[in-house]
Amino acid sequence: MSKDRPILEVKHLSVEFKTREGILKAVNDVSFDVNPAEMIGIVGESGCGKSVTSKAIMKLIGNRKNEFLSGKVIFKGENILEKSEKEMQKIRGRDQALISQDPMTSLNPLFKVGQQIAEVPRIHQKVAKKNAWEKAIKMLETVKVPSAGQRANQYPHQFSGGMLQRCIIAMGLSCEPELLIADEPTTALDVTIQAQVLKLIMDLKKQFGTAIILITHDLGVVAQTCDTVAVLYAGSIVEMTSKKSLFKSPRHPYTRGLLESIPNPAKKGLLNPIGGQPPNLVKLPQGCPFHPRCGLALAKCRETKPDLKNRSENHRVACWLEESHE
Amino acid sequence: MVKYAIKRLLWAVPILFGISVISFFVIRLVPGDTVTAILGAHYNEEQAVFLRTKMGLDRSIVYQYLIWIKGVIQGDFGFSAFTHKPVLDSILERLPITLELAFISLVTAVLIGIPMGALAAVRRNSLIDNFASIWGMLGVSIPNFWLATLLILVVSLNLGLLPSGNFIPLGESLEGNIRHMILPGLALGGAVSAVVMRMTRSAMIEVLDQNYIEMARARGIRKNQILFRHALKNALIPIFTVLGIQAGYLLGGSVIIEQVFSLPGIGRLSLQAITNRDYVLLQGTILFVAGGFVMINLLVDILYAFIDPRIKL
Amino acid sequence: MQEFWYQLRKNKTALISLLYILLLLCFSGLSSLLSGTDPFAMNPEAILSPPSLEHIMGTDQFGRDQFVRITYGALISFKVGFISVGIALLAGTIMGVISGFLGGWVDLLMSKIMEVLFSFPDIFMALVVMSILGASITNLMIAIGIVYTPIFGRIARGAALEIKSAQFIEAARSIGVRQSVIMLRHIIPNILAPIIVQATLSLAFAILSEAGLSFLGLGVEPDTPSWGILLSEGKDWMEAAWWLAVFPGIAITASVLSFNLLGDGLRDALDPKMRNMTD
Repeated sequence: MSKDRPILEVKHLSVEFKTREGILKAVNDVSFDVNPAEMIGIVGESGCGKSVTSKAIMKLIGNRKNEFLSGKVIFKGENILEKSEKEMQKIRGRDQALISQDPMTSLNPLFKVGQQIAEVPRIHQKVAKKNAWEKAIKMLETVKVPSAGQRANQYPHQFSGGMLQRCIIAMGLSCEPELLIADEPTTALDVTIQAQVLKLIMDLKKQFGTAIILITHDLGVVAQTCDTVAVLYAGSIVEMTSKKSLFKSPRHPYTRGLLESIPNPAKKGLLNPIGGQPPNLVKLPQGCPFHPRCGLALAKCRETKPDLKNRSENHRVACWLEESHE
Repeated sequence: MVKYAIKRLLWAVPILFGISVISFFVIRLVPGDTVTAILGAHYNEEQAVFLRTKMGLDRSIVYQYLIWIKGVIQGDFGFSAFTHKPVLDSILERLPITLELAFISLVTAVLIGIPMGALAAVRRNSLIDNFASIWGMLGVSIPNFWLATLLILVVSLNLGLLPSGNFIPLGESLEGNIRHMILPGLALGGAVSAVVMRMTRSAMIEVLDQNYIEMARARGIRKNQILFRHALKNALIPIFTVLGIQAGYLLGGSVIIEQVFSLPGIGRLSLQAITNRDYVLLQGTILFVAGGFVMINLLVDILYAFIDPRIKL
Repeated sequence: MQEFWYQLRKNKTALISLLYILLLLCFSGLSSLLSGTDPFAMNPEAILSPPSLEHIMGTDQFGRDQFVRITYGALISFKVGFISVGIALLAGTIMGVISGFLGGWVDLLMSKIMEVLFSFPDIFMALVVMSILGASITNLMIAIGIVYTPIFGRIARGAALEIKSAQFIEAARSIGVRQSVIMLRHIIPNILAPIIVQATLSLAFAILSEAGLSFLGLGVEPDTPSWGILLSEGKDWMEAAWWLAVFPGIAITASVLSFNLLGDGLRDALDPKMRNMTD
């Protein structure tokens, strides 16, 4: 595969769930690329479709009768959404890995941690049992779990949250995947542990050259890590650009709102949170989904949904205000 | 692990004590005593007094209990005047048959219940799930003695496939013995299979919803591995609980099933003791059955500790 | 309450079960009042006759009409069921509520007694009680009542403990309402739902136990046409007359199934937590 081709191209991805109340539009026509060794952040409030997007990329959803995926997810040149579950089983864990929000519930409580890590190379690289165990210990050392040999023999309930998240990262990286999806990897952890785990992820990214999609609601985390940021609102990307330009010149009112609601000791006064509630995904408002909460909404915003367009170099925004500037 | 086992064992002691008290005293409420029953038509006062003294029946009831429980602890359950045998001998002689029946029923229940429940959980609302939910309800509603009757009527009398009486001991012929045990095992295991199936289904549905199952999928672990290694092992914990409780049903149900199929097990022994008003024997069987039930559940508790590393008391 | 009826109406199997139970009860009750439906009437001309238009479930070795006997048996089964569950419900609930509410050594002692009672297999315990009391319908109701008392005790105790620590009980106590009043006014209505569900399910078990004990000859008096007796007699004749071994069993299974399905339906309707789980 050519080096300049993105490792992952998400094209017009939509995810819908059929529920009793109606059709829930979790993800709406989302498109973005991830280049090799790039770290992209997907930011948004809870329920905006971040996790669903990440699961769709691994085709962990779409197998049940009430789940519908459309669009394309091209991973290493092939459309993931057209793959069978059997083919996906080979890709998951080997080429793609997932780190989830809650380390405490991510591991099976009845199996030793080492066993669960060793399972990955055993399945994907057909490594013999004993070698897989050694590999598991080596991976634990890589993620800086102290006395890895002993800890591999312990069960998940004997670990702290931070240590478990390290184990899960070790598990994710044990086959050196090209893409790692970290879904709120630090949310459940203490602040000091958060910083350690983030640093670990950054170090490993350098070491293995893995592309990473970091899903978070925390712009602070994004500021420390990502190259590119996509802001998701009600299942749609409203703004996408490099980290630098996002923090320097945010253009979508929602992004600005998010940035203003970060505590900043340098600024005095109260935080300025965004008013209102995220919309019901079953009954999305007509027009721009953000208009009911937007202080700058125009008449047009209530009627038609704006497209995500390049407004300046590598800065894509979906907002009618951008059009009126021009 | 050993500490945990000992702790559970100590916890069972007061329960076993309670069982022994009930087994002993409740039987004493029976109108008419053993002596009257033994002597029957040949009753005369002189002989009755002699027998009562000999059997310790003239002493206070607490004293009688103490004598009895002391014997029980030493393995002496008393001597039955009807069978002319020590109670323990009668029980041990019949025990293998009841255990075999319970074992076959349990195997039947597990072999039907766990795969059916797991499959129903994986393919929810499918044909097999509907079938399973019908069986789950019907199985616990059909009386085991009627199921037994039907099995005899169809399999034994009409089709002539398996025998339904004239029990052959295990020592005489393995094949003959097993042929005699299949129908009783099915009749007794049927309801248990329904209960096990329902528990397996609901436990599996709950486990399959857990985050670690989705994470296992995200690691590319094959579906069968996830179902049978990761999920089922977790689901086994509630399944074992239900099996422990069902052991009581098996012990109780064996009374009826042994009667229907004329199997000389503990159940029939108790019925015999009831008809003969054979206190000593009845006490022994009650104590044995209830004690056995407690011990089985103790065993289940200890089994948990093997499956679930989180249990360390 | 409205929500409850709505949920129950949605559950068709539970509704059909309830209908079946009510119809069976009405039909048996009415037919026992009519003439020409004597369950003991012998007919030497129709001994062991197979199901026909005249005798839709055939006749037994004395020429007695089995359909009449089964409908009569329904009254016995239901009577035993309702009264024995009533005994268990009253005794168990009272003991459980007292035990849970008072706590301390009373609770400890009662819990231990319940635990001991639990360790006797159901049928086995009933059997022992019956052997002490002797076979009769009254004794049978007492025996089955004793067997199912601990279940109600456990439910009532658990609920009482939960409610005891609830805010509104604390409030009632803090304004000086007497303890016995608190128990009656607050706890009883709150534990009603699980108790009703358990009572319905216990009815199923009670009918099974009645039939089982009578089948063994340790239940109702041997000449009573209860379902268990019918089945045990039918079993002796089954080679010549299969219908005698089949129809009583169907009658038992249908009633037990109905109570089980109704109990499940009630649980879904009364307990919103369970409802969401099964959806």
